[in-house]
Amino acid sequence: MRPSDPLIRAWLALVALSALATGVSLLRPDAPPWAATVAGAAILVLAWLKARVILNRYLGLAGVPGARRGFGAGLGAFALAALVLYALG
Amino acid sequence: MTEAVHPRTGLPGELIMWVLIVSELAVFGAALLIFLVLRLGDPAGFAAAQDQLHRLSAGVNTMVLVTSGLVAALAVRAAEAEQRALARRWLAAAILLGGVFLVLKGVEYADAARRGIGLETHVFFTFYWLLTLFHAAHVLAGMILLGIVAIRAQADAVEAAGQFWHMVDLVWVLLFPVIYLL
Repeated sequence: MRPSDPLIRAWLALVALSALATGVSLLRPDAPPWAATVAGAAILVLAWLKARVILNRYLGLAGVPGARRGFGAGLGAFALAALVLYALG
Repeated sequence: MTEAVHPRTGLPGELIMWVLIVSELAVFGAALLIFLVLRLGDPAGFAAAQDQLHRLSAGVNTMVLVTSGLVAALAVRAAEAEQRALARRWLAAAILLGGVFLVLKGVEYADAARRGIGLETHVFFTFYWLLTLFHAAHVLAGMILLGIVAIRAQADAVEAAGQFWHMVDLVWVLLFPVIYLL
């Protein structure tokens, strides 16, 4: 295993994105309302990025462009719907 | 993750596992969106309920699960290279990390139960218990599956179990922010 291994890079990205999402969430209670909303949106975008990494690297869709686009569109639609519902709340 | 692809779809691994992945994403995705719709009716109540959860512990559990995903992918790689002993070791590591995830969930559940937080405490907690327990059941099923395929460590079986494990990982990275962080 080398740091250049795509699996290791995927794992490092997932760890970094997860730490960032948790960090943003822990800081959010002290933020003004508008910043809390932006933080929530950022958390959802980070989740969408993590899901893409898992699909493309762990599940191997990086080499299947059609399926990668299909899953990407589905996940994007979910993230967008979640974002709209979150922002409305 | 793999060299083996389905001949008609070009998808890596077992087609039936992809059907399962899409089904599970649809079920959990729909439940999470319903959760967010219900939140619109009582945002303050949902926020107060969420503040009772252990965000940091759930964040640590996310690290544990994505690390187990890496380990499972390495097991698939080893099995495909006919390195069965190595594949078994990676599978054992993935099972161990799954166990760590469940222990941390157990601590979280015990604490919630001790504080009297149940299914009917608030609609937030109805979804919290149902979704996280359903996910934890998948983790347990995945651990059993990984253990079964470790016996012979054949590439196609290890790959199918790996797909299931990544699905569990995938569901968690969508569930975790909506239930614990937003």
